[in-house]
Amino acid sequence: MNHIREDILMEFADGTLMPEQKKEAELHLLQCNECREELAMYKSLNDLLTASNIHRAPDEMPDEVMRRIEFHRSIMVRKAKSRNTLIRFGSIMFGMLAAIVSLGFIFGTPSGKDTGFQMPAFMMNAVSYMQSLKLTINNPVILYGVASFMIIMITERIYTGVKHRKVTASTIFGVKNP
Amino acid sequence: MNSDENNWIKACLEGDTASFRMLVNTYRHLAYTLAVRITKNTEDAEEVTQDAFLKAYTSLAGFKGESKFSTWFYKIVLNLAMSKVRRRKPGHQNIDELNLQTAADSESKQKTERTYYVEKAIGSLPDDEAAIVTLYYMEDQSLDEISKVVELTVTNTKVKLFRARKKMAEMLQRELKEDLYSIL
Repeated sequence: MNHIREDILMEFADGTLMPEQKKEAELHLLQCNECREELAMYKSLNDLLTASNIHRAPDEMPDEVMRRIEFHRSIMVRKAKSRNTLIRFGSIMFGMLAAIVSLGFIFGTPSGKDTGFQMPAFMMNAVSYMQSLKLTINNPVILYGVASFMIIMITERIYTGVKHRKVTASTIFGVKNP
Repeated sequence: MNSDENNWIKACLEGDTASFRMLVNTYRHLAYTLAVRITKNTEDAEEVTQDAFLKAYTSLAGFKGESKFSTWFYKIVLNLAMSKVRRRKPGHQNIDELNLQTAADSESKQKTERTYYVEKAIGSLPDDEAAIVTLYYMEDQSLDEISKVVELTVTNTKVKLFRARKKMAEMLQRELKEDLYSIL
């Protein structure tokens, strides 16, 4: 006589056999003492494992976990504060640099004779490049004013983006998804 | 995921840490049991369980609800327990030497003895099989969910469960003899 496979007996003990397989197994179990004993053993094993499956965690564990979470939170808040201070300081420095560069564009001249402020080489290159493009805006005050305004706006956007950990084109240029 | 759990998680993400205590209260025994079965040491298991809760708290925003919270959380417990075992120095305390504090503590001596042999049998299994057996007998854990926790296919999980139960049955038969048949 072919005995029932052990995995089938385990599933029988778990009560997860398909109805047809279960019926077939039941018919065999009626006439096979060996399989009945094996099934009884797996049922006992299930009972043993179910009954002894839980280890009780110490009662003070929830308090200890919450204490650690509060500690972690306080560290994260401190870190966030110092990160924000650093970002703010960096933004101010960048903004000031942008303002100085813009003032150079606005009031400086290539020779420095008229205003006492000589344009650095890169500014002169930029001016000649724009002249080569034959831009219609001839008034340098307007042109450089717009440029410095854009630099300051981008700085502010980067600051906001970093603060909320989202630096994307949309945070920098204010483009919203449709 | 049940609606209470869903609400607790949502509240946690909105900054209400007290809601996390509800999750700790719900899962501490099951997480601790899984950790004990893998580390085979109650002190390590306690540390692993606490670390797992802290990790779950800090990574909660990454929980997308694609699986049950328990499945996601047990995976954290299992990974931390496994890495604890890997980092362990030789000569650690074995489960045989532990004063097992189980649910059967207050019950009869005979039942405590049976529990001891069950723990010993689980302790003799490889870590992954011990985890599968533990999870299988925990509430609400289907084979599909267990396979996600142990990162195996359902078929492989089923095969490992079969092997583990066979080994345990043989071992318990030796240790408990007729007692195993008389439990029913």
